[in-house]
Amino acid sequence: MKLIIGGAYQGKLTYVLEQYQVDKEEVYYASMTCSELPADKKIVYHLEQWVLACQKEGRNATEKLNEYLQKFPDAVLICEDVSCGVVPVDPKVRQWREAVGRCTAALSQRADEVVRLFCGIPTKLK
Amino acid sequence: MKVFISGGCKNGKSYYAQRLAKEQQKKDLYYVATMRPGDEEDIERIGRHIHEREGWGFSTVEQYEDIDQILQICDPQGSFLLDSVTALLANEMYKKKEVNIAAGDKICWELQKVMNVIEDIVIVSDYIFSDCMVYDVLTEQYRKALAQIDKTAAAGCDVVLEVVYSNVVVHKGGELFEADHWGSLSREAYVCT
Repeated sequence: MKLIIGGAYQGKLTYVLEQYQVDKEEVYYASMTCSELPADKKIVYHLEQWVLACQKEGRNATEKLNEYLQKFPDAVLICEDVSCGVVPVDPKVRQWREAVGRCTAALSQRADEVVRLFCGIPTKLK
Repeated sequence: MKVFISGGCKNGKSYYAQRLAKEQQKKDLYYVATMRPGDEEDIERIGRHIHEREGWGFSTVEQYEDIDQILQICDPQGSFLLDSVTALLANEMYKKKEVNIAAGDKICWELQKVMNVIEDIVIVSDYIFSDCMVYDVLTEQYRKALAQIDKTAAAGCDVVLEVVYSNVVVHKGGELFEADHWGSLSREAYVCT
């Protein structure tokens, strides 16, 4: 599995499309309203939104991700870095931010490759 | 050499950028000031920056918008410091009553012209993309436009640096950056106290 991280608008999706020569149709666009992961796609964009959906629906994100990765061991997961701002006042947002952090850290340990995008430039962290 | 620098606030970007611009001075040395003073706090900040630059030999060019105009005003063979595209975008985006959502495209286009002509320039931005705030539409448009400008500047520059609390992460052009005369400057940023 490959993990692609970086702040908002830093070029994460563009990097994946170019680097792995894939079409946008092959990418699953996660949203905060659906905690399901795709049955037929191995590229997930906005993983942080999916984590929020899990939180809203009271589902265990780590377990669901483990199942997904068993099916797609060569998945490409794209996650926005939301970790660097002021601690959010809203406890739900706080929990979400922490959940994304824990999730990303765990995925990072598991990943074959971790790439961070900064102003469109990729750096391989692992 | 063209250098793009970003990073969080109060990490030492501006002072480091100043040193880089000074380091590559061959003829004239220009400080392109982009912040249009809006209140007392701005005037104070600008005063502090002017004080910091005293004795460095910078000619200050106030260019709050239409950034490619510096090509007309200055000698393109000089060494430039453009600090910052963040302020420039705010000026362009909010200069009229209505928000100009094309400001990002305009600045990218003008910056490309600048980068095509000027050889030695240091461009400073601010990294505001890794928090979890949900912003209003206007602020989100601003963030998106700034990222577009950052990516354009990073693509056009020889060296791309991220300043992290006085440490420098080289994202592009490492060999060039660490070559000979950049010497001691290359790794350590200096925070002005």
